[in-house]
Amino acid sequence: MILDWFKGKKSAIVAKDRLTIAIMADRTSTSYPFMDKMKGEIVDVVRKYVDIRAINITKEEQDNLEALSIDIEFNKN
Amino acid sequence: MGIVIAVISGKGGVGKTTATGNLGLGIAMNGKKCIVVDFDVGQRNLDMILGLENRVVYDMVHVMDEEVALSQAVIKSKSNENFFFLAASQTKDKSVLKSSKVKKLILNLKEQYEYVLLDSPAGIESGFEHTIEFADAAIIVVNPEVSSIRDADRAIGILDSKSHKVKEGGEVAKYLIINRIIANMVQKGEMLSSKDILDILNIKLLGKIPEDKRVIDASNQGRPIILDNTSEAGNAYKRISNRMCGKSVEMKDIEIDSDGFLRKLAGIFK
Ligand SMILES: Nc1ncnc2c1ncn2[C@@H]1O[C@H](COP(=O)(O)OP(=O)(O)OP(=O)(O)O)[C@@H](O)[C@H]1O
Ligand SMILES: [Mg+2]
Repeated sequence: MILDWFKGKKSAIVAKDRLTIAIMADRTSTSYPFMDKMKGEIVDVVRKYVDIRAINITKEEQDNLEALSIDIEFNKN
Repeated sequence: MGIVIAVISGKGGVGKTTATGNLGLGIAMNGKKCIVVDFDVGQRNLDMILGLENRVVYDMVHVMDEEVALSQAVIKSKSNENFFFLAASQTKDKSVLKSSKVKKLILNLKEQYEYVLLDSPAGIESGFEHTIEFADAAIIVVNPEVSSIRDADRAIGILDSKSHKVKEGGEVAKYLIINRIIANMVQKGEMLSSKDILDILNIKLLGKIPEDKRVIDASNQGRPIILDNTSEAGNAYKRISNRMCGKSVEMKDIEIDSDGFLRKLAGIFK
């Protein structure tokens, strides 16, 4: 019995650690609720000037700062 | 005006339908007028748990499309005069649910019943968003297992972003049920404890339900387990429904394995 204690971490503790990290990552990477709509509007504006191939918006978080990074790819003329 | 409570989860198969049926009946046993509505369109299941599958003639889509009146589609339970049921449509086309129609149906139900419980499809299904849209509160069901908990967190995220109450500046109340707890595994550190799960999800605990083989037997027979006074899970549903009716019921620590403890004691004296 006592030996079990030293053999390694209990799997419930491992599960808790893994979940805490996975959920933290899920929560930060999830977008804002308005993201899809905003994406559509940005596409409409940019399309007036260039021929968009792809657009990717991600939410980034650092300490108590949040940022949006917007990557737009378009074809060379 | 009654209260509308959606029973949801992230991952499927965690026990939403079983919980909805039993809690609905438990609330009715408290003398409150209660209806349970199957919102799992295309996967009608609640009728089987309740043993009412042979009495379904009309379903919620008939009501939403105004083909029949609500009173024509609602099925009254034989075992409890306060308990009512509305079936899901078996159509494969999930787009039958439209926000405006769902809203109307829910307002209608709220006017006539004190408690309206909605059995939701799992969080990844398209019908999920319609089940939570107009709910006043949500019960999130999880199993003490990593994927169920991770997916629950995502479902809570969707709930917060789609709820009309939240959009109107309010808050949708959220409560957790941990289902299928195996005490001796928690004791051995092989299963997440309710404390671990609450630390991770950070919402209020409504109750804990043990793993109980009789749940399957009860659904085989279409007789909700809450009617079985000797069943552990049945008694857990009873405690939870009493809580939902405003009674203060102590949180029973089902994570202590009393059987195992007694057995060990007996072993010492052998
Ligand atoms: N406490 C319990 N002990 C043992 N078995 C259980 C318990 N709760 C639920 N089950 C079993 O788990 C299975 C899934 O339950 P249920 O259908 O209620 O889940 P669900 O979340 O509604 O699934 P779905 O996402 O497919 O709608 C059923 O076979 C049921 O009998
Ligand atoms: Mg179900």
